[in-house]
Amino acid sequence: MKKELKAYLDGELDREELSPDLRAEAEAWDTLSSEMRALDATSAPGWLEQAIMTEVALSPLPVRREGWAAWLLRPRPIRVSPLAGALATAALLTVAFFVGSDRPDGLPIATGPTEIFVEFSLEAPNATSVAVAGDFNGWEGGWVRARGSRRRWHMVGSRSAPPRCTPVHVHPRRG
Amino acid sequence: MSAENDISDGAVVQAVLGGSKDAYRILVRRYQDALYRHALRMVKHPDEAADIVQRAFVNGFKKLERCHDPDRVGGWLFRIAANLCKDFLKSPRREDVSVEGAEIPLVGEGDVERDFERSETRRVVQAALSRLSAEQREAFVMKHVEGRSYEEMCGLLGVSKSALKMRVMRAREELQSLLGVYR
Repeated sequence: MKKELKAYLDGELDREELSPDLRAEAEAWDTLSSEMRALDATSAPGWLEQAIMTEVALSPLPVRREGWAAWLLRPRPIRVSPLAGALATAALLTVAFFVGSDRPDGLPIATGPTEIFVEFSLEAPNATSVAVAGDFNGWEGGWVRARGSRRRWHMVGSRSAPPRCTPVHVHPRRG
Repeated sequence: MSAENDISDGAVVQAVLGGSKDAYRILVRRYQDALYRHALRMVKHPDEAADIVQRAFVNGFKKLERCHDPDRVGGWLFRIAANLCKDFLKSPRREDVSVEGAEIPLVGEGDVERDFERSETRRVVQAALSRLSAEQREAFVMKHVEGRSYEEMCGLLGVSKSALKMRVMRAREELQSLLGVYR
């Protein structure tokens, strides 16, 4: 179906604005609609009103809720501008962030399965390499090489309970 | 009767909720024809259409306190009836209703030949309409037969304008392919 005809059928164009070849098609659609509109003269059957009212008479009265209960229970649309919505969301997230934290620095404590991150940091300017072993790598798991510069060595590991011990093995620089 | 027509829908709803069941008759008289015509166009069978309208009004009565805008109770009842029509079209029960025996009475006077021609056209069109999905038929009927605006349809059906336009467009395309004469 051509765009022009669609626009006409949607009421966005007058028939005079259509090209001549589309006018005949538009007329056919109008005939179709008016044929169906002729049914508008059809009324509901005469017995219907009484049938409805008989059933209504047998039904309990609808209960009207009054007062605070009605106010609380009645759903209603709320109109919120995108800006107000974004501000409210940001405020809620901020409150949740601080309420969920019991650390003085305000950082939240993770919940769920506990995983503790162990940070090892050593200042050893003369070392060529530094390795760390502890219960976080099962002791027998071998040395874990720390990464870092010549001055400061650094490693982060994780485990499910606080580490008991963290021996350090330092290879001093030769010469 | 004129006094009855002067009462607003909102006042009637308040009267019913206040305990006057008989006041509901005013709403029945006011909207039964519009609801029936819509139901008839949707389900095509007069008995089924009447049954749907009856259920819509009775359900509406039982849930009247949930009508949040009593002054527009007509639209609210229309939505109940429209949903019942769609439920009917999607139900297996629909298969039991013979469309052949469901001739909608013609309103014509005098010219028998012309009436027959119109009847034939309408029969063909209705057969084509019955091939559309419930949503497409509803949108097409409301737009092109009931002559409603898209804005009005949005309010009544709670569907976006773009979705309704799409349904109407698909309905037209489907009808176009079914009724070759409109190509």
